[in-house]
Amino acid sequence: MSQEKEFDNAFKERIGNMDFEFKDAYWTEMSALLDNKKKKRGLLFWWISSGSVAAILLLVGLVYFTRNESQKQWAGFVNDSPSTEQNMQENENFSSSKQTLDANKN
Amino acid sequence: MQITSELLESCEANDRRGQKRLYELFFKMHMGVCFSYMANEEDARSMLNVAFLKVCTHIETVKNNPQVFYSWSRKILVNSILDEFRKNKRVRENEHRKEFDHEMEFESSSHDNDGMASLLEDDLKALIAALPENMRQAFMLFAVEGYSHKEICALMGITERTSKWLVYEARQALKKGVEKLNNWNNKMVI
Repeated sequence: MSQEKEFDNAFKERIGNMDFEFKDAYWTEMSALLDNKKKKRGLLFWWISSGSVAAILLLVGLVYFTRNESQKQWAGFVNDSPSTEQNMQENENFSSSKQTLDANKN
Repeated sequence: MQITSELLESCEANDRRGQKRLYELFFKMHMGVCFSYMANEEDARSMLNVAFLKVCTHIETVKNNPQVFYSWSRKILVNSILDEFRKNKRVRENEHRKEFDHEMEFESSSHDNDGMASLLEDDLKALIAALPENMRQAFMLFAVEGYSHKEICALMGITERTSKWLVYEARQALKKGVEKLNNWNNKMVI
């Protein structure tokens, strides 16, 4: 077992001392990746900000319209009885005038 | 060149010259390990780049502790490598499975360990590259990173038994390869 451990340690040491030549072209590649990441971040920021603006507009619009709607309903409730009477009268007037029109045709 | 707080701060401030210096140091520090996981230089470099991006994004966590940069960035690298392996998970379980418990008893342990030190670097790289992916990975995690078999089975999604077998097989393959290559090189010299 200890011989295995020795082998593993010898391996580990060789790995740690492995030599790879560094080239400037490697950095060119890496810096392009870093630039890309920044751009992506910018894009993400843009998406989030425009998204939140849209959400706020939607919310304001929703609140505004529902309030208008409820005001209308309230108004309709208050004027309910007179308006129906008026409507009935108008309907009667309309049907009587229609009848006269029909008679004229005949 | 050494890792200093100033260097890490300049990287945090997105100073390109600082980042280049850090990248070069990072490359020298970890390329050997990264190559040993990935088996070829191209893959190793692109993996190194993935890890360096993460290093740059989280640099503020170590900027006041430059002495931990090595182990911290190594952890980031190994985790990135493991993520990559998990993404391209191939059939690992039962792949080359043998009843290794019996084999271990018959295996001679006469290989000497000095061979590893005298092996040529290119030969070592070729030996590592020749190992099957899962063996290489398990052996690296065990022998170089110092993980236990229990930890390796969680990291690689394999059983403890498979982990033991992979490490054992990788070690045997390396030992045999070292012996063979050293013999061959000695003959060439004579």
